Amino acid sequence: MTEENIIKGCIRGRSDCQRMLFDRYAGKLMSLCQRYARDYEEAQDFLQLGFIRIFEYLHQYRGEGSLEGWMRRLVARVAIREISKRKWHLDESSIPAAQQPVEDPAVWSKISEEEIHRLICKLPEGYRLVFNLHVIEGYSHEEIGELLSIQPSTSRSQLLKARRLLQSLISNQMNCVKV
Amino acid sequence: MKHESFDEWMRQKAGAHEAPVPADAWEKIAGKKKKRRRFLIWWWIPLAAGIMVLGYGTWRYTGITRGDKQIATADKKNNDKQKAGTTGLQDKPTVTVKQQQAMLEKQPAQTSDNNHSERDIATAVPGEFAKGKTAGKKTIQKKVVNRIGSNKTNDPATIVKAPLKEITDATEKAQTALLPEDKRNNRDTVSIQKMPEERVGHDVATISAPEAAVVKEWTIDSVYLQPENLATAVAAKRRQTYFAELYVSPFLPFQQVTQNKVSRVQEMPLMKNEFVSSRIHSKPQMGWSGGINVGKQLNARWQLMTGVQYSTFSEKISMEGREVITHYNIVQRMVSQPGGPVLVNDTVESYEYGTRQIEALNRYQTWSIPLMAGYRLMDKRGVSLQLQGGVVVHIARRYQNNIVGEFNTDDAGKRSSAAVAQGLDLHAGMRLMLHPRSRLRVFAEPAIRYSIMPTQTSDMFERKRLHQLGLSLGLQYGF
Repeated sequence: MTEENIIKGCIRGRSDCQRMLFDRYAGKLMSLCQRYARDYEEAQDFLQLGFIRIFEYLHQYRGEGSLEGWMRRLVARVAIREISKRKWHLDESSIPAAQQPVEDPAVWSKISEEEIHRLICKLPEGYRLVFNLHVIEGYSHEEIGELLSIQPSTSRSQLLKARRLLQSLISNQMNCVKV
Repeated sequence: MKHESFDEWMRQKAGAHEAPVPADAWEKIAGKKKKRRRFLIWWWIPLAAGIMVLGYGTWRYTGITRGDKQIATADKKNNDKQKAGTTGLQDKPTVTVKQQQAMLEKQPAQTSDNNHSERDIATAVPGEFAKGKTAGKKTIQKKVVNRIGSNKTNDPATIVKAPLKEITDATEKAQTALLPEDKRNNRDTVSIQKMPEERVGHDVATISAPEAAVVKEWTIDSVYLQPENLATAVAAKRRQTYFAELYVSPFLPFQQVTQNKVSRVQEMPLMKNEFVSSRIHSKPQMGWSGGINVGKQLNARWQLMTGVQYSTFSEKISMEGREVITHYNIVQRMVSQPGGPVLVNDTVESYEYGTRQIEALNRYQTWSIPLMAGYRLMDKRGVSLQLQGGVVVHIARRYQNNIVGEFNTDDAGKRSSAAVAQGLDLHAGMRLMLHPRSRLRVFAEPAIRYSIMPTQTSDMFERKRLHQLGLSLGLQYGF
């Protein structure tokens, strides 16, 4: 079944089409949810809420851009909204000091997607949110500021620190820290 | 690596990653979709019912209020007449004899049919009657003529002011029965009686018309104005208008849970305790509420009331989840320095994992403002049955949490908060009321409350909605 037919079926409320859409994108969206969530249970909640919203608003998808991109943005917004409901801090007290990152491209290419995902999940919540929204989802700092109720300048500085910390974590992961 | 290339590389890697999806994820989504649909149905039923009740109430109330005003007018007129020494409502026409004579001159002297032309009547009726013509209501004009003909039973004051209503055959019969005996037996009499000048103000110039036409022009108002009906109307007006009530209501809360996960982090010196549970069993306990209301009886059937209500109930919580206890141990190690070895403190973390069962008791105390409307369905022999409906607005809530087996410190074992709250319940109940004394009433009211907006306080986000099934017992005193 083509994607267009699946979308039409979902809009009509057909369970089989909804199931197909779920099977097709659940893995990628679960990965996205895990990057935003504190733990696995919360990621599951985000995924459930995200798919419910997708089925609810799928009729608004006009075919501009990829369906996956549209779904990702919707689920990311759901996750951010859920996170905003509980207290979260840009807490930097427990962040390990960043070490000098590795510059060797050959080293970078060795890192798997799974490892990258795991390292992103290790970032402190504030860093992680800004990094995910800007780097992976493509939001601007102004949009992030609105979404997270922070200043765009804060978003920029958080991104800078997140990037540095992530590079450091990758370096540690590869056991290639320069002495 | 430059920022842009690093970001691009991360986007590709992270974007392409697929995480394993829990096996039961689809079942949960499908279940939530069904619940959502069910929720929508349940949400709309009480709302639609509320709107219907309010609409019906408004319609009834406006109708009855108009009726009450007319009764009051008649009551006042009757009192005026009694003061003036007259005996009947029909003895004081508002149409002067000159007007009547003018009308008579325009009317045929003797007629056996009731086909009075509209134009004739219009020209015949001056003053207040002419208003009827201006309004363009031909039927009113016709009614006026016929009413004049039935001088013994109709009050001209009412004729001028009362709206015209169609009356069914059954009503006609009932109203015909209210006519004086001589009128009922003398249906064929068609005569014009001209009264002497000196009796102006007590008698009415009469244009008799066929009785059928007379009866058709009777209105509900004229029925009210009969002496025997008037007593009932006056009694209704004497009903106590304001009332106050005191009640207590045991209730059983039941809940619609939309969140079934708890995360709890406790930080203590050299120790951190993290507990995450997704298996939560909640059992709300019997609670009670009490309050005081004041209200107003709008008419024989409708009443409005508001007041203050306090309610409290407990909830037993059982949670099973994974607990991680992190111990921070400070160890000292010796480091060689140029000046000699020194002791340096290091922190070593050790973890304990395990499954834990937590038993807790939550207690909620809520202050609310009920806004209620009551509609009396039946009132016989000191017993009345009343339909109650409205909303209960929650304004403040106190929450206490006690975990069994933990010390009651600030951060562990016991937590409490009190804050301004926002929440809304729909209330529907059936009230049975006894009247042991004229002013005092005793009532019992089984009721259901449906929470349409979960109560949220400023410091706690609450997702579960608690509905209630209760029985109110109380006393009402009328002023």
